[in-house]
Amino acid sequence: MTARKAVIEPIIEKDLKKFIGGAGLGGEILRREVPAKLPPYDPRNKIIFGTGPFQGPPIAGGAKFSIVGISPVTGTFADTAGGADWGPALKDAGYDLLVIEGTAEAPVYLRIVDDQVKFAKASHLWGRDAYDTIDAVHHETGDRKLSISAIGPAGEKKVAIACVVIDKHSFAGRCGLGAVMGSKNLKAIAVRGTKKAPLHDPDGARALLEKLAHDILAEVKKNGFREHGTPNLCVTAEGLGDMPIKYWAGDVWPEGAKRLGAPNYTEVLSANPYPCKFCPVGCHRHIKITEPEEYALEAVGPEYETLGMMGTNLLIDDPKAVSLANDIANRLGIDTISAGAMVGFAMECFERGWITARDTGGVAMNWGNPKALVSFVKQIGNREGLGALFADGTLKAAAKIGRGAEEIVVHCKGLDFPAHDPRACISLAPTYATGTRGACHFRGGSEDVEMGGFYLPEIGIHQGMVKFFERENQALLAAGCQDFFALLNSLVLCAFMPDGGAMPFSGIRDLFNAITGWDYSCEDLMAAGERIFTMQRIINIRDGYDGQTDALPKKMFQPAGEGFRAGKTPPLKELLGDYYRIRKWDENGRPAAETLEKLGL
Amino acid sequence: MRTEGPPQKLWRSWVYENRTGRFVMTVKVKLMSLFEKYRSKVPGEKSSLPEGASVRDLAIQIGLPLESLRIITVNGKQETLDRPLADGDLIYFFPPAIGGG
Repeated sequence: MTARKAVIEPIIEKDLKKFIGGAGLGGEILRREVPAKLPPYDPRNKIIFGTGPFQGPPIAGGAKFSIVGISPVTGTFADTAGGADWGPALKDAGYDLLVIEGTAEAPVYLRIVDDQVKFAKASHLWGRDAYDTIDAVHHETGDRKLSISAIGPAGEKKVAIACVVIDKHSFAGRCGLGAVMGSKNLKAIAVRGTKKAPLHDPDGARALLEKLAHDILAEVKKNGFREHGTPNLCVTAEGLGDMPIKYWAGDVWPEGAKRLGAPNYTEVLSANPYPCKFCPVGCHRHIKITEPEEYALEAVGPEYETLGMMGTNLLIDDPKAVSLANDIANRLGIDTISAGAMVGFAMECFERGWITARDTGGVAMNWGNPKALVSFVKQIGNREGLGALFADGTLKAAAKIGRGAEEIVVHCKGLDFPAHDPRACISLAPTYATGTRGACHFRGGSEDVEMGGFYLPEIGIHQGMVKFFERENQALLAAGCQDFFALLNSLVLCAFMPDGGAMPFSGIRDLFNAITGWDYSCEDLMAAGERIFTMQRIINIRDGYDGQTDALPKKMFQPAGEGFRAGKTPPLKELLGDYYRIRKWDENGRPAAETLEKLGL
Repeated sequence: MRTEGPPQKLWRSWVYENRTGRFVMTVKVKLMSLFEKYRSKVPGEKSSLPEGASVRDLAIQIGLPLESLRIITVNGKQETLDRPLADGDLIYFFPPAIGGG
């Protein structure tokens, strides 16, 4: 960015075979090329936009890409995924990865059309929200077919939880890589391509694609995922004690989950599926609210995670209020999971008297107050008022507040928990504690196996392998799911194809081989997943995050008084012991030399 | 594994036992999330069954899709379709948790 120069470099086949693409290949570049412990906003930090083998043909769930960098929230390795049209567009332009380095002197946006890469002035876009920016780039280029990844004001102002907004449709939300984009004065990347990546077996791939898309569509029509999207999960998750209530201090709230979740969500918000390119699932929701006027909008609706973090987490049960806060967060460009966590944390501080109405500009940060939610989300995204205190993340805000406030923050390595509770699904305890980007269910997904959402018998993840609250096989499930999700984020394939769409692992393998011609077995693919996960771990260890940081916050050891998980807490020490043994890591959480050798690292 | 409904003979005997009040137990049934649409089959959230009935028998009586029954709890503990039921049991049927993203 500093020299405003674009260079095309080849990728050697050995690296492709080992690290596949997306989060794998991007992570390996980060490991090799970025110095240890580099501050996230240092111009030498790189931000890598990565596609994989699954972005060539029209694959169900293939309209994805990964963004990789050092996270401003955690300081660790981070990868985050986005959808809409952008991944296939970059591939069609002829690129696997886009590596951004340096810092532009003044705001720019990139316009990439096949071999042409243009650095366009973006000073007139600076300060505008992400949706306006996308519209403006379409307007001024006259090219409506550009797929655009942009940041909002939050990314520009280096709010640590800033996200990347794709086509006003999808959001690469977690870990704050939107702020890294902002630190490089990069407002947007607009892409269009006219090429087609070659396939090893085009006829075989086409037949497989048709069958998989057909089977996935049949499955999601049957199980309600297409009709209701992720809000489908609310009532089940609350019933099993998995959904956050009152910033993780509440036990049960079935009425709240019922009001926020499907089928009420679908009816009240006039919600319809809003699919990414090629997708038969359409998990995103398009919603329309006409009244009351203060909540009127037509846009992307909140997902389960947002309903959890901005809904039950705050004792707010109005899906319209959550939709408004979600829309504001999307436009300003902040992660709705961490934003919901920040509001929850602030409400608890307000209750304890650590934050007062004087700090909040007169707004009472009471539980269940939608006005407090909307007002604080605006402040976080604009880095103003109390929001400025939270600009470096919840944990750092807590340190500034003092009085031991850090003790009540619910996070791993600084990343706020998503809306899944390791006290309910205990496989999440090792998943979160060892997560390479901090607490994340989507770098594991084992909670959906525990709750019956999907199984992968080809790789030993089958129904009945774990039971709620019982230690047996939980660490094995956690490690297997982490490797599987590392693979998915490198292919790059949307997790909702297997999780919800019932896409079998053998289908992923067959498709991979038809595209690449590499004849990988299921074991070969999972070995790549394990290699990628371990490589990410190595980056973190290099930067000072070893076993000492594999921990859960205090609240996870406070059991519920009622509900499905009453009296239960995860046996973290035992689970981590099991997990390290399975991974062949030493007691400090460092991979053994023979483990690295076996993985070719 | 049995996947069809109960044999006609067994069903008749259930009806008989229910009418005469012999060998009958009553369990409390909670149908969660998208299973709510079966609620009319469980008036007052209660079902009556003959002695020896299992969770599977109860699910068949309600008409729930057996292939979707992956998360069942009886008195707060996760159980399978084979779990025998007793008078006064509290049973939750959850649809599979898909899309935790």
